[in-house]
Amino acid sequence: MTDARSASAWAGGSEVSLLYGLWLSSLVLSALALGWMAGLVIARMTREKDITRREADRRAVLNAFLAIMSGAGDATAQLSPYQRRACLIAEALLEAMALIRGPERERLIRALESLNIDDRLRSRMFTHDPVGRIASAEALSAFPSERTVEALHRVWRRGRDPALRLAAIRSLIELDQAPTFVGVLRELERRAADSLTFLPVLRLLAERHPEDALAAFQDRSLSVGALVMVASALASTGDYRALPLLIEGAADTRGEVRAACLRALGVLGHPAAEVALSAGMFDSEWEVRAAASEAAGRIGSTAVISDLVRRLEDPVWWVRFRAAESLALLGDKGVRSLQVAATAPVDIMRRAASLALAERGLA
Amino acid sequence: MEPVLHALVGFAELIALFVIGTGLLQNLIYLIQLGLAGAALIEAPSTPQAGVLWRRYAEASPPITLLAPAYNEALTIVESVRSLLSLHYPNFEIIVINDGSKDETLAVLTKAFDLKPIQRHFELAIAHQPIRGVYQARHQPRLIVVDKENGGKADALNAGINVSRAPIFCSMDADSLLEPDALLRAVRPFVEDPERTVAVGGTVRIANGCRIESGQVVEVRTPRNPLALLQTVEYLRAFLMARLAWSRINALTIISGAFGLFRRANVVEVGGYTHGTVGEDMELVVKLHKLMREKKRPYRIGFVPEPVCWTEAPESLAVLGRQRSRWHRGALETFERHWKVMLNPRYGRVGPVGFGYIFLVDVLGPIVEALGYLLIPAFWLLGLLSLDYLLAFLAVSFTFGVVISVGALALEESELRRFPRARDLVLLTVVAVLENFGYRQLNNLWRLRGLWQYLRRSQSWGTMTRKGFAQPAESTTR
Repeated sequence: MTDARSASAWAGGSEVSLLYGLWLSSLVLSALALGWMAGLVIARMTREKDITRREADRRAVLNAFLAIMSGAGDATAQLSPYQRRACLIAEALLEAMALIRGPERERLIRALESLNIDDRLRSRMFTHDPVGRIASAEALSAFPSERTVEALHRVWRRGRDPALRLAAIRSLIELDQAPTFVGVLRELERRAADSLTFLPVLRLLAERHPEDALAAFQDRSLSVGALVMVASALASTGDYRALPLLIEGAADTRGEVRAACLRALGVLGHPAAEVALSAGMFDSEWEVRAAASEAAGRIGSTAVISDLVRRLEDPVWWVRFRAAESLALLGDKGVRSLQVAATAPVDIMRRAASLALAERGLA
Repeated sequence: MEPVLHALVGFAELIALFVIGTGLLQNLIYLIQLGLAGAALIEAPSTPQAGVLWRRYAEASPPITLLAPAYNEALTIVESVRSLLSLHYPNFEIIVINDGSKDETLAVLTKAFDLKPIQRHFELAIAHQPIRGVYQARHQPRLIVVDKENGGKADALNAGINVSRAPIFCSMDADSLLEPDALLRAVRPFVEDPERTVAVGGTVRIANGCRIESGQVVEVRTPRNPLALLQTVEYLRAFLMARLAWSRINALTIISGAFGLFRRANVVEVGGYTHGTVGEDMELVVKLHKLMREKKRPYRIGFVPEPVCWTEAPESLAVLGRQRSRWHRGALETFERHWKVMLNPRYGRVGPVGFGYIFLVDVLGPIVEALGYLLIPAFWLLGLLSLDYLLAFLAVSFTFGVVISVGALALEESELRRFPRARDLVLLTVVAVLENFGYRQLNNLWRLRGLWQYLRRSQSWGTMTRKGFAQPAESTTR
C-alpha cells in the first residue's frame, strides 16, 4: 500500500481481518447461491420424474374410472395401485363428477368405496398439503355416510384453513347435512373480510332452509357485509315471505343494506315492493337510487314509470343509466316514456333517454 | 500538501462509504423482499388447475371489462382479440380502444369480427380525446371496439374506462398474451376481500422462446436471445420478489401496464390515468394509495404471483435501452409528483417502504452506481483507495446480487414451476451470475439516460419495435 492508502481509515490492525471477512462473506454467499441452486436443480430433476409419473397415474385413474362406469368386470382392480393416493383420486374424481350423473356415477362411487377410498379422503383432510386437503373435502361430497359427515363437521368446526372449512361446508350442503345458516354466517363474521366465496354457499343454504335465512336476516347484530349477502341469498329463494323483511330493510339506516334489499326485491319481482322502490329512487345515496331504479325494471310494474322518468335527470350517470334501462324494459309504456323524455327540454334527461333508445335501436 | 491529501482521502472515503452503504441498504431491502415474498407464497399457494379455480370462484366472480388499447397493431390485433375472446371467465366483455391508429387496425378488426356501429350510453367521467365511434362485433356481443382520436395509452384507457360498465376493469397491452385463466386467478383478491381490494397486479412473464399457438403460450421455454434471457431473470426478480413482497405489506406502488385489475369506481374517483406522463401505470397506483389513505378507508392493493400475462421482450439493445430509459423516466416523474408521500406519516407504509424504495432504487440508485463505477477506480488510480478493499467490496456486492437472483428463482421453483426442464434452471442461474458483468452496467447507463430525459422534460415514448407472436417462436428468438 502507498502512504496515502495507509492513511485511510481502513488502515490499522483490523485491516486484515476486515479484508478477510469481506472475502469470506463473498465465498459464503457464492457457496450459498451455488448450493441453493444445486439443491433446486436436483429437486427439480427428481420432481420432473414425479410430474411425469403423476400425469401418467392421473390418466390411468381416469381410464379406470371409465372402465368402472362402463361396467368392466375387473376394472376396480385397476385402481388398486392408487388407492393410497388420496389427492390424486380426489382430483380425478372431482373431474369425473363434473361430467357424470346417475347409475354410472353410483357404480364408480361403489367401486371407490370398496377400495376404502372414502377412508383415505377422510384422513387426508387432516394431513399433508392444503391443496390435497381441500380436494379431499370437496370429493367427500360423493360419499354420504355418518363418518363422512362427522369428519366434515370436524373440519368445518375446528379446521384452521378457511378455504378448507368452506370446502367442508359445501360438501356438507351437497350431502344434505348442512351446518345451520347462522353457523355459516358466524363463520363469515369470524373472517376479517366478507369473502364473496360465501355467497353461493349462503344461496344454497337459503334455498334449502329459507326459514333459517329469514330468521338470520332479522338478527340485527350481523355485520353489514353479512346482511348484504343474506339479502341476496333470500332473493335467490324466490320465497315471498322475505318481502316484508326486505321492504323493511330497504329503509335501513345503512345505505349498503338498503341497496342490497332493493336489489333483492328486484330479483323477487313482486309488485308489493313498488312503494319501497319508489322511496329508494329518491334516496340520498346514489348507489341506493341506482339499485332501486334497476330493480324497478325487473319488477315490471308500470306504476313506477313516472319515478323512473324523474331519475333520468339524476345528477349521477349510473342512476340515469339504470333508470333508462329499466324504462326500456317496461314494454310500450316504458319506451313511450323514454321517447317523450328524449324530446324534453332538460338536456341531461333528453340525452339519457335518447341514448337508451338509440342503444336498443328504438330511436 | 499533507492537509490536502488528508482532505482528499477523507472525501474518497466518504464517497466510498456512501456507495457501499447505499449498496448494502439495497441488498438488505432485497433480502427483506425475498423473505416477504416467500411468506406470501407459502400463505397462498397457487391453485394449479383451472377447473378447480372455476369451481371455487366462478359463481362469486364479479363482471370484468378488459381494456386493450391499440395503436398501429394491425398485424397482431386480430389474433390478440381472438385469444382474449377465449378466456375462461364467467362474465366479461372486451373493449379494444383504437387510439387513432395510422394503420389498418380498425379496418382489420371490422373485417375479422364483422363490426357494426352502435350507440352506447356512457359516462364522461374522465377526460380523454374525442371518441369517433363505438362498434360491436355482430357475432361476438362481448367485443366492443372504441375508435378515438390519438391521445396516448393513458388517454385510450381513460376512454375505455368511461365506456366500460363492469365494476372491475383489466388494463392490458393489446399485444400481450393472457393465460386462459388469468382473470379467474387475478380476481381472487376481489372475491375474497371485496370490500377492501381496489387493485390487483399479476405476474408478467417473457414469452420470447415459448411455443405459442392461437394466441396462447402452450409450452414455456427459456428465450434463446441473450437479451431476452437476461430480462427473464430480471422479470422474475421484479414480479415474483419485489412486487409480491410489497403487496404483502400493502406498499405496492406499481402494477404493470401489461396486466392489472382495478375497481372502476375508485379509478374514476382519482381521475383515471394521468396524461402527460410515461409512467401512467405507477402514477395510478400511487393515486389510489393516496385516495384511500386520505379518506381513511380500509383498502388493499394485491398481487397474484401466478403468471397471468406474457409479453414480448425487446431483443435489441436499442429498443431495450429506450424501454428502460422510459420506465426510469416514468418512475422519476411519479416520484416528483408525489415525493411528499415519503415523509408524511398519514400514508403509512406506502411512504417509507414504497416511496423509500423508489427513492433508493430509482432516484439514488443509478447515480450512486455511476459514482461508484467512476470515482472509486479513479480514487484507486490516484492512490487514495486500496485495490484489495475495492475488489473485496465488489465481490460481496456481486455475490449478494447473485444470491438474491437465485432466491427469486427458488421462489419460482418452489411454488410455480413454470419452466419445464431442470436445465432451464441451470441456464437462468448462469444468467443471474453473468448479468452482473456488463448488462447491469448497461442497464444503469439506460437509467441515467432516462434521468437526463426526465431533466429535459422529454415526453417521447420512442419506438417500441415488436416482432409479434404470430411468427413461429424460433424466428422471434433469433
